[in-house]
Amino acid sequence: MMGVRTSIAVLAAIVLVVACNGSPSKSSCTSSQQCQAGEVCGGEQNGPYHCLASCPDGRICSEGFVCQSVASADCPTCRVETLACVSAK
Amino acid sequence: MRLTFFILEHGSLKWQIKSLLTWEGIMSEHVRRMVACLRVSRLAVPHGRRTRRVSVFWQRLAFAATFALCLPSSCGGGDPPGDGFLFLSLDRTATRAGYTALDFRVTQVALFYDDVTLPPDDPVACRQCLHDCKHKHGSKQVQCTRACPCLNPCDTSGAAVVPLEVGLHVDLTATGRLNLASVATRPGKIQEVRVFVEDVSVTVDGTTITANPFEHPLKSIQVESSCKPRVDAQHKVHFGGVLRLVPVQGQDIVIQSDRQVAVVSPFDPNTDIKTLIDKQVKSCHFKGKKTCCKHGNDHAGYDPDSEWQAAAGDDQFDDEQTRRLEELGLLEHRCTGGKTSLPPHHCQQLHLLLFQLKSKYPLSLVPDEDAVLDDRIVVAFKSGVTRAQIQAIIAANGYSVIAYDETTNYYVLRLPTGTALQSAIQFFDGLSETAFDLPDTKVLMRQVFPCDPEFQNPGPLTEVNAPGAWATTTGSTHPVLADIDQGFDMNSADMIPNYFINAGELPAALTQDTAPADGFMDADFDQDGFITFRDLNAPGLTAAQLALLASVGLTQPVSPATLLAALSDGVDNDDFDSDPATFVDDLIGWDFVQNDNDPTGPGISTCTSAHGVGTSGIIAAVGATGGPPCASGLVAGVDWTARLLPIRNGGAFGVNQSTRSTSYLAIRYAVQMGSAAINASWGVTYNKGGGCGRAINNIGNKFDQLNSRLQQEGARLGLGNSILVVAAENCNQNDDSADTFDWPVELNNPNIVTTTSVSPANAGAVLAANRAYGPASIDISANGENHTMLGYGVTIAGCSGNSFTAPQVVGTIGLMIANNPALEGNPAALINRVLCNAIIVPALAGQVGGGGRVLEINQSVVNTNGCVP
Repeated sequence: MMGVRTSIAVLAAIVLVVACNGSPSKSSCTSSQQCQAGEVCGGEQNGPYHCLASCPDGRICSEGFVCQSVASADCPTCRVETLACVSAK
Repeated sequence: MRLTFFILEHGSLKWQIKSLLTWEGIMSEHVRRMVACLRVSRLAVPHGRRTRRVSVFWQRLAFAATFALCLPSSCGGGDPPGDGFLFLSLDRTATRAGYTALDFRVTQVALFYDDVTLPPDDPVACRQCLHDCKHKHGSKQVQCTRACPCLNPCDTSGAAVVPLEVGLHVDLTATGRLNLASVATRPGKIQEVRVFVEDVSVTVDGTTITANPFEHPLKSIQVESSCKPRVDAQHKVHFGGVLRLVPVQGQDIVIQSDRQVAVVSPFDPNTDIKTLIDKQVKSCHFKGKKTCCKHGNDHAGYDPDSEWQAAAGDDQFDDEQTRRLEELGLLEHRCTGGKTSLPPHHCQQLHLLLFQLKSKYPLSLVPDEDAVLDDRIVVAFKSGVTRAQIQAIIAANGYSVIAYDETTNYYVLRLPTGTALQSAIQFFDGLSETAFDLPDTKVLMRQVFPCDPEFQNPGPLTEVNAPGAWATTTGSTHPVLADIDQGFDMNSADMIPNYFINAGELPAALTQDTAPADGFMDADFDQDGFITFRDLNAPGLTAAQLALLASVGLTQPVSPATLLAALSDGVDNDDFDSDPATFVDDLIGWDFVQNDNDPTGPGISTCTSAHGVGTSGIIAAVGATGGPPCASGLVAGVDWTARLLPIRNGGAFGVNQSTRSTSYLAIRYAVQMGSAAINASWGVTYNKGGGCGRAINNIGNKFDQLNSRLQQEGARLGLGNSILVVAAENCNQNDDSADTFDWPVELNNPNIVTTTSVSPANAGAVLAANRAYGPASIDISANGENHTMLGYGVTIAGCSGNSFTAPQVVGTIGLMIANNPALEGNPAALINRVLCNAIIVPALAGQVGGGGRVLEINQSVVNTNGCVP
């Protein structure tokens, strides 16, 4: 039983580490001003929008994420490039 | 401040001065880089709420500024709370020196935390060491500085460097403030802060002098000379005249003069330099580099064929100058130079922060060796000389044909190996078959570069040869160029002169033609047929003209905001749509998301939030040459003199967000206001299946229904005589695909031009990453990458996307109409000229229409005859 609890704790810790390792915060937003520094509010053109880690100049994203052009909630239809880390799926 | 420049001419060969002058400041012996670094010395993070005032370590400043540093940890009650600030203010010595303001741009801050060893800083030891070193080694100051324990304020070794982009203005009544809240990179005490500044300008007695001593933006100076030599009765040769120095960014300099002369003169960038150089009519034999050129004391008669002559007198070359001249090879020439006396000049010697421009960073004199092509000759044979005869002559003498026009017997011949051009000329001169012969030369590009400090050179607009077009026209007020976008900076100095004014909404006092009745509206002071902000803010208006403006509540300066405030009367005076309830007081444009007459944007300066500010700037930011100071703001657009109609249609997601229907209506409004071209740097992509992340994907069976109805909507969108220029999607998607609908790119309308981004936009163009393509859907390309675009009172660097390609085409259409007004109202002809004058890059053939078109603005503008379809 103790071994199972330990495994769960380790797994939880790993999940926490992965989740906190620079991945997008995924909080919903309508403007980048609602996001933290280094994040942009982006997503598909018709939403939903989340705070995503910005990756200008193709900066490397966390594991499981790729740097991709997204629609910015600041101007969803503008054809200006906004690069953010999104799930690689 | 001292400027050294040279004028050379050798025989009839014009010399071209390349990279004429790099302005480089020498603030002190410590500063060696192209940035000025202010150093706030030895600051520990203060505890509690207090600031510490320190003096700027800025050696040999002509004035002093005072800093107060309040770091985040000590400024809990800051504004906003938690922020830290760097305060700057001029101190009293500046006042005495006549300085009234200081502007500069902070580009980075270096923080030395207390766990790193600071670079050496021992002023006493430094001075002593330098003194000893110079005594020992002469004036090899550079070596001494390196060897001595002198502080280099630009040394960031061990520091945490934080890039910034902050412009600061400091005057005697206010304090510049730099927010340091985001600067600190980690917890810990900071023992030193170094601030890196660029683009320094000062205001002296009310005159702003943008004598930027740094690399950017002034890279060269164009010298126009009216010097003519004159020999007087005493056989003295006089060189003199007015040398107008015009800073031009990155432009090669071609100087024509009748005699070679080097001039060393104090330099005031705002003043013509009038220099009269009296040379004794004597010459000297070369007796060593320094002896002759530096001192010029050995005179033995004037030699008009001398290679060059050096000016000396009071402004003799110092050792460093001489060293540089030697590096350039100038002193290798046989030198005949007389003692030169520079008469008193009217230019005031300007000590700007003790930046000295001297020949340590001199002109790079390079003869334009490429101007004459010495491997070929142009020969025109007499009419009647047959092709067979010509071929026989050519073959018998070792020439080969490079190109020819048989109708006119015009041949371009390659010279036999080892044959000098002069010999070839003599040969063909002696042939009875020759009508004339002459060397071939390269045609120098006629280009104009703006002085705007943030204009990118090289950059996207230089790649598409906007400077070439500007040699022909920089625009006119005739075309209305509309920009439908997220919001605009209606207070932008770059834009105000070019913003549209709807005369239909103006009071009759301004639009009537009564005083005098001359065929122009009374407030059309420049009589170009339109009332513009250029009219309302024109300098030197008569009392009657100013009274006319005052009669409707306008006083200079007139901005869009003051115009709206003074002239909004609540009545739809022009009522162009026969509905008096719509577009009331649309004096300067319209806001479709708030349905009012103020298209001002949200005021946030990012690539996305200031999107409309950026695109409108590319279309029609005012440009200028001359200065400094440059009279036209921060950047230069394609069309420097247009009437830009700002139409706001967009906001943040869910907040006044644009829709396709409001976009449709905005386009219709632009058409009805008579726009020659309409910019659309936006759109929406629908994908039947999956697509890129920013599109609307997986709409399945709905796609086909939507597709057909969108085309109906597009067909309904009457564009009249307007051209809609549309930026394609920022996705790696094929817009030609039947499963993708990039709206409005794919609308079937002959008045639509579509764009995508390449980098660079020249013969080596490559489609930029994540940009839509499709030769059937995309008409033309331009460089949309890494633009430094206008924001709200600032510029924003590194903005990329197809958004920044369409405005280049819109601006091009403006220039085309300015150069050929007959094209206005003829969208088919305009589109034809834009497309057929493009550069064709075969590598883009599968991505961009016409076999891979890349915008070429100059050809589009100057080729008034258009192209054969």
